Amino acid sequence: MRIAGLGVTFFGLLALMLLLLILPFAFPFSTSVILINLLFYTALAYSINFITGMTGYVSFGHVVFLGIGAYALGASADVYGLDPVLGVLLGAALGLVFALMIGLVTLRFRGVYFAISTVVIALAALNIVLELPQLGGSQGIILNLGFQPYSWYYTIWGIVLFEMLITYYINRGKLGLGIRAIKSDEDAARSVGVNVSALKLYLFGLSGLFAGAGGAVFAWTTSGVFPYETFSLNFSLQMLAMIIIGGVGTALGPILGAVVVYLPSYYFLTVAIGTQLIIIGFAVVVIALFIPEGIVGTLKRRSASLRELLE
Amino acid sequence: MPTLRTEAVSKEFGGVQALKGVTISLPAGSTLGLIGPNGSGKTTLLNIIAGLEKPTSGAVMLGETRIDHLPANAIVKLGVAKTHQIPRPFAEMTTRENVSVAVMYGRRRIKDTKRSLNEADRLLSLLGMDARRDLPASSLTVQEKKRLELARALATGADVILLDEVFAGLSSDELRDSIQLFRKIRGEVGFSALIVEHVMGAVLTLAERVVVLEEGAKIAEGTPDEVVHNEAVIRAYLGFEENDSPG
Repeated sequence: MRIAGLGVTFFGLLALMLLLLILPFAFPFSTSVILINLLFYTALAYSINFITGMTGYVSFGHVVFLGIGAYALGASADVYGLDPVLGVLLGAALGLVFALMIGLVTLRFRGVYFAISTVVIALAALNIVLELPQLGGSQGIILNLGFQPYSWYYTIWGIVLFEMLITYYINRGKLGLGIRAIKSDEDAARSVGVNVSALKLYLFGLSGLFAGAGGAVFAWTTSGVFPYETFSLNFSLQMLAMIIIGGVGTALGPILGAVVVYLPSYYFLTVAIGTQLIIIGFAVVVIALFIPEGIVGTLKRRSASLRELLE
Repeated sequence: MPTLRTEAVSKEFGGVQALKGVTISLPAGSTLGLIGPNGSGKTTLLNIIAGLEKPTSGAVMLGETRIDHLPANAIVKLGVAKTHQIPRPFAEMTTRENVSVAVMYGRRRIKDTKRSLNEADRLLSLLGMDARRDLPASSLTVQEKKRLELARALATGADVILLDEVFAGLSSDELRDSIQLFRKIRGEVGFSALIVEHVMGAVLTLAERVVVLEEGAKIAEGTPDEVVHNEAVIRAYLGFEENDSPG
């Protein structure tokens, strides 16, 4: 554990974020659209990292919070004409509230039972939305928010920055130590005084908050909310793939995983159409079998000098 | 430092009476041994005190506070800590991080990482484990893992420590060392100890009083000397029935 000042990884990520802050001015729009998508996936990866990466509770149905955020922005912009930035805040708030309510029940389950409960909730949410005419039923909500690349970009950039800072705040102090104890042995953690239930709920709430914010941005950029696409389990799988490939629980892993999973998708969309999920699935299986700590975790284990640098 | 008491604690598991109205008392600073054959309810009683299980009836009191309805982590914060019979270290964390978790989340609630690590180091050196400080806990030997259990319990700042078979499975040399170490720690850190053992050796050496359980009921209580000469205890351990005549 590093006690003293902030390390290379922190300043590296900070420098990257500063670079991303000015990048849209240096490149044409088409590039910033790629960056918006990349940051969107990065935001999703950090959000699921809070619960699945840090505690080992696999949230297979994490897309439910993305969907809640998307519908929060969609409905508020459609019915009340709410500003999309406020819609993103509303999506975050509802993501938090629903995560706390769902987590209060499902976090009592362990292992595969928790994972199954999250999938069931995601499927239930889709079917509830399909039955609600106020949310457009199976048609969804078509918005007319226009092409606002700079607003999209800086909103999602801000979300990612917040996620990185909070990940650091958690990992480096008392919270992180208690959370690692929970991941290792929940009952033993309780027996040295760790309030296991509260910490898990705190992390699940955070992950719901940021997935909700990300989902709202998704609705904003696609200028609409469509139930089957918004609640697609592909999102859940991609989120999990990103942190498994990047390195669960770490501060660097999610963005690394997002780059590795997202950037090749242009190739898959244009050349090897339809094979993306097969390749991602294959990569996840190989990594889970041979390097279960992901890229960051494995580099730290293999090299003493990198252990000090990577977080 | 308050007295820990159980008052007529009973526990039923699906029709099986694991404990039948057991009352024990652990005055401040004392050492109480709890012995009995396999399945006599020792570990169940310990788990109830530590908040890992709820009693079917009866109460657990810490001083004037009733604690049997509290969750385990809340009981730790009141100053009662338990070691695990089979050590459960946080395997991926280093030894000092293991102890540090207990320092930060235990009764003392030390928030500062550096201070908690210093305190963890102090306890580890008290237990003669300096050299293991930065190793992952998974690499420790069984005896070292048992010491780590004790270090974590001490690190919570508890003044009542429940020791579940910490002396079991040791060679006679290791047992002698462990008993000496235990006395040394008691000299430096004051706490009351409830020692649960399946074998009697260590308990009879360390405990001032001993309670004997058989099939969930208390069958004897007294000084170690009184207990080993008690007929009911001899019968429980050797398994003679009233009308059995050996040979």
